[in-house]
Amino acid sequence: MSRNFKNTGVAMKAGFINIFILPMLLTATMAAPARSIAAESMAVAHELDLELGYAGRGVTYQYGQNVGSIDELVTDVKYVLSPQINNNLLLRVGAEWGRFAFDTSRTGALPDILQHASAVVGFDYQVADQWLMRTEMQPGVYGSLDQIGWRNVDAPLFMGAVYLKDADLQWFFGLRVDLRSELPVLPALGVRWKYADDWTLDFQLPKPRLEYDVNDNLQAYLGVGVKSGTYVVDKHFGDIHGRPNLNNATVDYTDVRLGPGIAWKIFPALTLEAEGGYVIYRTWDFFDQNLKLDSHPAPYFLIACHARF
Amino acid sequence: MKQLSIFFVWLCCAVVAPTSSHASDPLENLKKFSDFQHIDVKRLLEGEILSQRGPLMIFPNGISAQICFFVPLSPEEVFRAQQSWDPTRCSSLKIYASSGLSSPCVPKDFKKLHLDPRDRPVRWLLEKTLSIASGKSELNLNSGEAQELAACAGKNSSPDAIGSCWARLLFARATAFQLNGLGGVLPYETNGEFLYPAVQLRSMLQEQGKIIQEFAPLLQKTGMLGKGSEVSSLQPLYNWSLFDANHHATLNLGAAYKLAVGDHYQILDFDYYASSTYYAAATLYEIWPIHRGKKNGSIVWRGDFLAAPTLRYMKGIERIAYGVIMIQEIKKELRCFLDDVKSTRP
Repeated sequence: MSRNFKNTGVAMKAGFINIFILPMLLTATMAAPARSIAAESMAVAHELDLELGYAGRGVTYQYGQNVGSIDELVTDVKYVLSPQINNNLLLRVGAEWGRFAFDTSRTGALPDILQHASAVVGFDYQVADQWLMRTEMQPGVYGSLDQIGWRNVDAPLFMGAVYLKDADLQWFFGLRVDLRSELPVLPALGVRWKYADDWTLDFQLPKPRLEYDVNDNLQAYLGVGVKSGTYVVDKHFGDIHGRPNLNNATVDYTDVRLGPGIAWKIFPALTLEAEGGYVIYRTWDFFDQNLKLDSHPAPYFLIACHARF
Repeated sequence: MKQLSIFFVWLCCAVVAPTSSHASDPLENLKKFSDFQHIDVKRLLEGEILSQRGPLMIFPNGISAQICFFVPLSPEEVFRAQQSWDPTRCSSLKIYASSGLSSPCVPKDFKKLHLDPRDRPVRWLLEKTLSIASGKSELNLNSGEAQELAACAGKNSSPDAIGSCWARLLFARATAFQLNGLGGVLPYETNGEFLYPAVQLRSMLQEQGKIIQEFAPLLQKTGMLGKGSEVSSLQPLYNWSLFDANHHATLNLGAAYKLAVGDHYQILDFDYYASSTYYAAATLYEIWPIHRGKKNGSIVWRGDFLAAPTLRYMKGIERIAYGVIMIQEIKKELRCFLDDVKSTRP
């Protein structure tokens, strides 16, 4: 018979979590014999993602009033260790630090820094023949973090499932749950479809892309990147900006980027990415205080490094 | 080791002993060596293809899967149908050409080898062949083959000429295998290291203790177990094909061995050469006759083992996904085969 099953090129990027199952799984993991975790290096996967980006000055408005041009520096570091517990279950344990630094004006009610430092706890599980799921919770502190208090503690949850139709088509279903956000539950649908030998539509939030394989190691893409998070600003933030109601206020930050990029696989386990374009949408939404600031489009540049070993 | 030898002797005796008196129960047999511990026969007979993704291997390049399905043919007919099946008729499998080889093989066995540059995966193979001369080869070749292929393609770089160059290389490799078995399979040279397809296959199989026991007679006779330097005592069927493996046109050479064990068959079908994308692959089959009510046919178990360079770097959820997709691709192939079987039955 033929050998067509070697046609199994996979570019899985599951982006996704059952909170009720998690404590049970953790208990099971700790009770499991250490052999499955320690014995083979193949049974432990490591993921390291680094990202550094800069967005140029974008004129920003508060209630339609120009409050100046704001630029932005984005930094994100995420490391996840993923030991295989059994043939269908992988644990995910790690940490992430992400930071938005804004060059703020005095007139606008904008935080200088929005950042988070969180743990990553979750699992990947093969639910059925063609279904995989990921559940990931990121308990940590979210805010300006000049002063850390209980109000900064949050634990957004990401749940996702992927249906693997075949080597060229996979469907994604995701859910983000963050009870602090104005949109506490955010569903998402995605697809990865390699519709031609060189072309792939990788429509997965937060980074949907149209990809072109220049060669085996170089990929060009046109993509959208969505960066968002829910943070709590400092207890004196409102006083400083003449709006005491913003002390300890919750802010949803969202930006949407559009631009081309390249991904270069330097080694089989290491990929570098560089992209540039425009931040086409950027908003700081103090939704429970009815205050929203948004920016005009601004150019951006971003470099990233993804290691899987 | 001694115990293992005794086991093999015992098994060989069992094979040559008269077997007509005991018909094997496929389901009981399956439980002994496979990952299928609970089989719903009704689902099988209704045409469902059951699958199990293999466990993580210590061997870093390897991945495996097990499949079980029903074919409405006798075991002998299943084997014949498999070997005579033309997979090129199923366009979704993306197999450009596939053919048997005579024994001893002759150059014209490869007359169907035609590299059409209009297909992007074939263009990839042509480009990689032409880039051998620059010393950058991602193809599975040894240094001698690389030099010959570069010189051959350098004389005439038309797709037809490059196809002829590849036909010559395949002919040489097939001849060496026919003469010397696995011992005649030349290694690939990657970054100055020698990589033996037979070692890759053995490394994967050695992790499957129960399967090795089940298939011991066949694996012994084919040279897959042991040093493998001797020619097989079984007469295999040889084949080659050109197909799309992960969007790369790939040429392979394979051999299929059949062994009758009582009322059922064991088959080893393996690729001892692949031009790129993977190093080696093997599929073990066990085919039992089954009679349930009005349903007569065969229960087929197959175990697939694939060694590929990318697997070394594929861990965690990516590796699980790879295994799942590997099973889907096998099922796709099986459905084509079963559809053909049904359409050709009277």
